[in-house]
Amino acid sequence: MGQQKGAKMKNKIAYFIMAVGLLVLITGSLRYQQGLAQKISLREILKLDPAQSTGSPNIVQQVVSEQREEPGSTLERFPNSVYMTSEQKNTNDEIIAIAKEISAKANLTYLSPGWLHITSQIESFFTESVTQPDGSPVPTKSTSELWVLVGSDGYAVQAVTIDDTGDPRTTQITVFQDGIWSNLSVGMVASEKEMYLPTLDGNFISFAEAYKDILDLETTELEVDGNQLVVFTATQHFQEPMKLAKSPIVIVGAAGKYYFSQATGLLLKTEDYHIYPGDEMKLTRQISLVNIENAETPPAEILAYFE
Amino acid sequence: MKTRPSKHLIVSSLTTCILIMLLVTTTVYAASKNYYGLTTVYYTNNVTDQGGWNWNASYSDYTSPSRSMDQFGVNVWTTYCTCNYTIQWGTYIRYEVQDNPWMMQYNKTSISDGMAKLKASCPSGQTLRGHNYIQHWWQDSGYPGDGGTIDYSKTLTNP
Repeated sequence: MGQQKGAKMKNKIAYFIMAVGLLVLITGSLRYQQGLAQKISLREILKLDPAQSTGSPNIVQQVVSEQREEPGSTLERFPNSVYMTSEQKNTNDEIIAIAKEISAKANLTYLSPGWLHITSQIESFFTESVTQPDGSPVPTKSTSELWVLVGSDGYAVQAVTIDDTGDPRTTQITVFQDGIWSNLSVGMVASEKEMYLPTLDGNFISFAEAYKDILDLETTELEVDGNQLVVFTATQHFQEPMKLAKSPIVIVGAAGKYYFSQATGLLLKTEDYHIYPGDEMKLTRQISLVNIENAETPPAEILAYFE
Repeated sequence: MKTRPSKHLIVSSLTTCILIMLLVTTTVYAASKNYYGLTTVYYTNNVTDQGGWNWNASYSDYTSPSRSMDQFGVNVWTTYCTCNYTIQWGTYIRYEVQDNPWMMQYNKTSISDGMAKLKASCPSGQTLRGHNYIQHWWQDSGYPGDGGTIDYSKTLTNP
């Protein structure tokens, strides 16, 4: 009887030891997992904040391998481009000179010190990614409005750009002040101060000059609704077809058309094209000038962005 | 009179010992694979000008000394063009790792990738830029604390 009681007691002790052991293991395991979870939360992993990149300087290093543009090294810079002959290069220089002459008319009229207001319509016909991260479709049309205060040196003092897609979720407002660009809609702020030089040629002239060795420039005249237009076409051909991102789309070149008014020198329309195998060209994007004006002062709602 | 330990006591003690040993072994194994502070993760993020309308956004990562990371790659890769820092939605490309296993790889010391991207024209008065945003990510023992992330964005103003 006494032995049976003793054996039962030993069994109880055994079960007690096992229960305590399991409890210690489970508690320890849970605390270990919690400790790990506290080190990096999901919110931190998903946070798109470059500032947190400085947290582990000893284990992360950036390898600087930027390709900078250097004059005279065009062949190395654009290994997949078809280069122009010397004859075509001379033609390009002549066409750039014509573009400068035409554009100068508009610059003289509109790029004077004070407020400048430009409204344009943008339409995209090609989107590599058709949805945004939340699954909503990427907008294909927008109205772009630019208010810029031009200083006496031609550089911008202040500016506001509003890209209105008709949907407040995708409409963007950017502000330039004290040399810093800020996209108020997506919270993107430029990290460095910069000079902003507004131009009226859609950057065509600087673009053509930078790439004149690989661009085939052409110019034609066109009459639309009684207006004389000068159209500049810039075409780039690739030596090897190129895949766009991870899509199956392959292109063999790209082109742009710039429609200038001969009378005013204003850039009225810009078209971007893809060139597919077989030299088929498809319009991917179009920008049309809606209005341009010099203004005494912008509306109060525009000035409010600088406060 | 000497009493023998009961069968239950022996079994429970053995079970507890095995469980504790298992825990210790797992912890040591995890610690032995924790490269934090020992291995350097190198990364690059570039927007390079290929001429004309072609920009190429790319990234590459590798570790040194050469030891395979359990998981290595990028979580998010986004490229787009902006006009006056306004994102041009027609140029917007975003890849996330959930749908793209090529972005996150296993037992790798280095990975790299690139995408050709066309430029977009900007309306008069506005400045064109190309952006490449990458969230590099690595994990070396299966536990979040043994890995890390780094966000990096690159901008190219052109021409």
